Amino acid sequence: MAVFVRSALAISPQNTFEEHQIPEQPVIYTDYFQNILPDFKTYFNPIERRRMSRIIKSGAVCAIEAIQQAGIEKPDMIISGTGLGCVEDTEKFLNEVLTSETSMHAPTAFVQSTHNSIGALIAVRYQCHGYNVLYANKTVSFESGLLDALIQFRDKKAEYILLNGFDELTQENYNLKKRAGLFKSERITNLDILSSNSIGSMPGEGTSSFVLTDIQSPDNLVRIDAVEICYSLPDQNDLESWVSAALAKEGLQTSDIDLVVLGNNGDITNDTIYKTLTNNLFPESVHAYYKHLCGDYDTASAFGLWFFAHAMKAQILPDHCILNKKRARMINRVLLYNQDHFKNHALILLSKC
Amino acid sequence: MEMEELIAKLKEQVIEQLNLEDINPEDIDAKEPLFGDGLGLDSIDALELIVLLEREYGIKINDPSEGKKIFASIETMANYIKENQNK
Amino acid sequence: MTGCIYITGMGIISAIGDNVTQNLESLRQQKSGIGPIKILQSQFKNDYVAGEVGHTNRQLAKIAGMSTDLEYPRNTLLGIIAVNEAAEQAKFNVSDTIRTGLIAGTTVGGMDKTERFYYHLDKNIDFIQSHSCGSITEQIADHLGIRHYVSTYNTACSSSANAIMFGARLIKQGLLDRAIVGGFDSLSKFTLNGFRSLFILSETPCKPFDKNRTGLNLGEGAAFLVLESEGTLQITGNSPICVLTGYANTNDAFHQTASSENGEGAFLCMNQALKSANLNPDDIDYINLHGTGTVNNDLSEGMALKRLFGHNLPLFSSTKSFTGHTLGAAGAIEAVFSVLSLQNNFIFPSPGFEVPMDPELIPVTRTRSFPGIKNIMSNSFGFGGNETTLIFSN
Repeated sequence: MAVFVRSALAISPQNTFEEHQIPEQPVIYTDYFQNILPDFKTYFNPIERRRMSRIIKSGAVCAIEAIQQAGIEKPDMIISGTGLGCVEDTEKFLNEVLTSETSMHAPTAFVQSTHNSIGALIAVRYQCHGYNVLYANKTVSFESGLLDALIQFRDKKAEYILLNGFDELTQENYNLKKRAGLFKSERITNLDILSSNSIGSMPGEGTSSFVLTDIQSPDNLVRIDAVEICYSLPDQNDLESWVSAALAKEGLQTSDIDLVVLGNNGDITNDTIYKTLTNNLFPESVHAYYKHLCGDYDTASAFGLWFFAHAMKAQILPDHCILNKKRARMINRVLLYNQDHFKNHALILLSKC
Repeated sequence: MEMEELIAKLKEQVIEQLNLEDINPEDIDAKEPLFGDGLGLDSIDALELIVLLEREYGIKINDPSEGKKIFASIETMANYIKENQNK
Repeated sequence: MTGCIYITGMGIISAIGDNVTQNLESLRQQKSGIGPIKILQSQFKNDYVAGEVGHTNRQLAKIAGMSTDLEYPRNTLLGIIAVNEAAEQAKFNVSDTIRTGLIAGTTVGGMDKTERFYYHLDKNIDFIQSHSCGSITEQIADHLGIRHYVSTYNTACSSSANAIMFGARLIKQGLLDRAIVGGFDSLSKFTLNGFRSLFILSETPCKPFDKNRTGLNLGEGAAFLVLESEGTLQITGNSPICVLTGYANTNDAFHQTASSENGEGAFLCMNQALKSANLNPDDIDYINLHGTGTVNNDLSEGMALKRLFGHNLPLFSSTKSFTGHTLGAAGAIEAVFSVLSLQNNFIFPSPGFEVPMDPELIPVTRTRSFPGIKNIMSNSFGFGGNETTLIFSN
């Protein structure tokens, strides 16, 4: 039973939404990334927009376009993943409450801070009564949703599933986390993160939506063969065994992988894990990364899937995302791997369709 | 404050409280229904307007179901404020 | 995808007890835990009643066997207390051969700690690391030593019910052998003020399905179940308490916070859950309602019940009159109550119910024995139209 990506849309710090294609040259950012937003007014009138924050507008528009481009009336199910949910609304209500509890508080920010606001909005818009859930588990939030979707297809519970991954970076959240030492302390641009040799990442944000289907079609972008998640592995050797075993389940060896996509984010301790893995298991494959385009955030792997689904369909791989100096003639099999401080190991295995 | 002045001010405040970007005061008719047909507001907007009344006019509404009558239109809101302010 | 899902362990902490035994006793004695707010520091402490767990964080840390010097978020402590109890009953041992996952549901995550330090960064800034929903689940996973799979749901009030459902599905798919599933939510200024701003908090104990109901009471707590496959039972040697026979999740697709008048989402959900369990409506002996005591939910859920069961309504009640609405933890807490019902052949009431909102919808008002009770349905309906129903059977 195969599962395909029928459509994939992304609002990101690159011109990914309007252009509908992978960026040839990255837009440059210093310290942190911010989304390049479409014109929301073409999608929602002022009344519809009135209580939608930036992330909700982005998530809704991405989902609407994904459904439109998939050529379906509505999805059977809606599954979402987010690390932090609707941060702007959460901050707004939290600040109001902490500043003064006594006055009456406006409810909108509280209501909109509900993590699954986007899933709910899409359900109402399309009158979709099907399964509708949201995963909020740090860097495997998106992969958990993807795993759920694959299981639904295996159980033959759906033909089309809308899968979303979203997270936002607000100024307030950035300031807090910067103060806590989570990001690069030195000034840096996204093109320099790999050579920084320091700890900390460059934070980003993004919203990605996919319509997944088990129906064959020439319009499908890519096939998803497997998703594997493991919370904790003892050491690098176990990691390599786990990755090899995951491929073996699909009848593959490490040498079958043309392209390995890593979650390199510029944090030297983090990135060393990827280097060791690829040197040991995938010496002949092309190694690539994507967080120089979208930044580091919990559901960045959704952007990674968007990017490489389109890359595989077009059989194009821009130089700026290649880590080693290799070139693949054909990108048939791609393995995406992401982890977070050696926890939440997640693999997505794709093949050309 | 005169009724006309109050209505003009209310329109601006409603636009701001409900975050109605790109809607100008002149786009709202004072007698136009705010809920259902007309502007198309809903129950959460009604709660927002309750907050507006308390913050800007010191009028506390304890039962949100009263909102239906009070917020029927900008004009009914203005009348309610005139009747209840400084009580 | 085959096989039964067996429940082999459970743990709980709520306003009516620190463990299963205490909760069961309170339910039997009809002793509600709704009362004045004592621990949460809020300007509205005296305006509302809630189902608060009657321990400070320090006291919870002691009960959990954790350090009292570290600033754990309240949810971590509640979660660990409940998970310890469940894991012990199921004889959980971190072992390589039994692939075990931890899946939890929560809405506020580490919010209580965030509230304490957000304006006092010089005192503590590591609340940033524990704020998110998933970070609490991970703290609990690390405490237990779970390695294989950890995930977290946030679908408002259906969160932990969804976690239970997903654990079962992962076992049926052969991806896990055992799943520790449930959820936690602690009281916070955020939710107290949030529900207050929606005018759906009651100043007095809630009265689900009562004509004079005035809203919900917030509650807090944590609960976990241990689910095992048939094959895993052979390895652990556990005796199953009961079976998770059916489940479903649908969406009301009506409004961000309000439920539809005809209860469409709830109706579809209960119906699908029955189908998944291969049961008919008249196979259900008792329903643990979502029953928050708000005008809107009870009307909508009531309509859905009538549409599904017609005149053959099973017995039903809402135990939120005991615990308050524990938000993300509600699904799991009420799952434990459902399992206790099956285990003890008792059903629990909605204490405080007086005048029916609908003469055809009268909940159970006294704890009563129910010999031979077979199938229990438990509903959890959340903001955003998130509806989940679980069915447990003896």
